[in-house]
Amino acid sequence: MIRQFSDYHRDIHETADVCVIGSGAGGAVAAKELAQKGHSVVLLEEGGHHTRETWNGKPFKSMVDMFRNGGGTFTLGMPTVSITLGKCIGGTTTINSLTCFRTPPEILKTWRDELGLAGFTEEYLGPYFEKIEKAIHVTELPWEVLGNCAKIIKRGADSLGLNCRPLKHNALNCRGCGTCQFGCIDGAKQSMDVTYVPEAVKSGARVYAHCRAERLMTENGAVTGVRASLVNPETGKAAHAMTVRARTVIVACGSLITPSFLKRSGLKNKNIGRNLQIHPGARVCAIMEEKVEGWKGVSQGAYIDDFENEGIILEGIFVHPSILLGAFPFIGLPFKELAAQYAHVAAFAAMIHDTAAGRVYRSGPEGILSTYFINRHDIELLKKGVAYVAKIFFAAGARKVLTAFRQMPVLDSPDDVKRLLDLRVKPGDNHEAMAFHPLGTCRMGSSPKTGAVDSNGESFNVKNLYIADGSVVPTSLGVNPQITIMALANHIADRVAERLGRSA
Amino acid sequence: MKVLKGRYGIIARAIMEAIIPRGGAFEAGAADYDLLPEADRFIGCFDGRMRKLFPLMLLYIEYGALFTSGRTFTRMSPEKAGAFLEKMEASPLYFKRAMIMVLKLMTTVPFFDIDEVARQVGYSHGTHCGHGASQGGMP
Repeated sequence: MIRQFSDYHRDIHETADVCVIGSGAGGAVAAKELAQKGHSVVLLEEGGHHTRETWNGKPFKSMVDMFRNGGGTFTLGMPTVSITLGKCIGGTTTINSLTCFRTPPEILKTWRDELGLAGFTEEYLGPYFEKIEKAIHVTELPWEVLGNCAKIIKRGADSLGLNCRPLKHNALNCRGCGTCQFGCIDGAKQSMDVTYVPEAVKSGARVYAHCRAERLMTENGAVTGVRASLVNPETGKAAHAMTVRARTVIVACGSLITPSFLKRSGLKNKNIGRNLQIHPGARVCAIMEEKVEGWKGVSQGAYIDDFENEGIILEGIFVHPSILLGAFPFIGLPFKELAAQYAHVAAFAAMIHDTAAGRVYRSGPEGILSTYFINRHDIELLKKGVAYVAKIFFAAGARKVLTAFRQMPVLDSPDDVKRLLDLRVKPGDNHEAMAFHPLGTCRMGSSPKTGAVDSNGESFNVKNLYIADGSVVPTSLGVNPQITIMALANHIADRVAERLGRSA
Repeated sequence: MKVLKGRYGIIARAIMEAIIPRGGAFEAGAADYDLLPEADRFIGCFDGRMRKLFPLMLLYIEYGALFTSGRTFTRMSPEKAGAFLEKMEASPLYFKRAMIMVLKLMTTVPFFDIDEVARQVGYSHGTHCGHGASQGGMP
């Protein structure tokens, strides 16, 4: 059973072997694995429990109910970068684009060779990947379901000799309704709220939604539990208190929240909050001659990795007019002129493997305070990525291409793409960026000097405290991270189970 | 209203009507619907710091217009109000462009959430998968 605010009438005191904070890609996996091994598990989630009966697949309701800060989470810097985070059972997996990539082998090599994380080989993580992909039904969808944006990009890529391929998605019987990021109206998305969390509940995990962890309880250098608040979703205010006494605590609040929570709890390690990497991206929209109706199909259908060695990956991105048109240039009647062509719009995005690193600071329990400054190298990559997408769109027959660069918001021909490539863009001031994959703010390391947690996810500072979310991912991945986060969480859960087994 | 109360609501409404006026490529404009309660709910979800900044941003637009046209934003004609925001959107100063981005979303998120408006730009919510979109959106 998943308890929600309406079930809370007084303060709650719980005792468990393990308290997991956060029900996203990391927390849900850890909770389910440990519950299935027979440990008593309490899972806390700050957001509510929403299902396809309560969401409508449209941005407004979804952003108000299921997104952290209504989608208004961002890093401070030049430019401010919006980062989409879920605040609901299932975390960001409930509102992501379902894209699944295994951790690239060259990234694992970096972790081993440069960060001393010798255990992370393809052989070691392979079985975890397989198990997770089976549990969340990772599959390659047919082109009909991938939608017209994907087909248009493929057409352009084929004509330029590039390799456009279908992305893999965690979906079962997906028909391409196109509402992926705002609640799958078909119930096809196999996110944590419909896979791992129900499995954890089946194995006895007690799940508390609308429950915000406030700070860790520690004694003699070891964690002993969590203090939390049961929060009224209408007011955002704490209505009751909750304490969970636990032998082990697993923090899985995500890269932008975990560091602040740890700092509020008194942890001191210089890696907590540092090394924030986000995979900055930029949207590129094309106005096509043909009718595209890009909403007919999954919103992120295909990808092109021909530029991977440069640190650029091109991926689909198509969303409801509420959001996509909000990013279009112009005001008033010229804006409406452009908006009226929505059915002829195709959209794709460039995402980069970033080299800049931001920081997450201590903030109150309700806020996120982070900084991230795109550096010269990364902005050059982003510009190249946008230019590559524009070139592909023109090769596919685009009439116009809209970019996120202020000096050239509209490209009218392939010649403009060349001009965009020659454009001098200083980091920050002349472009917009977005991001979806915050990582690395409590990264794994071989010692407290290089990481906040060891390769088993255990804190270097507090015994029996583990972290199992995107924050432990040691470096930028260059690809969507949910499978990596789940695999690492499963690995960490196994190490926790071993520890609990020994001390039982 | 949490954020857009009183004069802030009046400024926000004027901004929304300048961003999406009536007429042009499709008939509906922000003035045809009461978007303010929805916009307020949307902004009410923002982080506390953003919520506090929001009224300041509205005041910046209201009184910033005085310097360029001699009138406050809410007293400008729709054409001049649109031109004022357009200038901000094209500004080399990032914070001005960032303001426009937020204000545009404040407008487009509730506006295009209305099915009959979305249909005017050719969008039909989920109908290709057999999910009928009702007037106010699905339950």
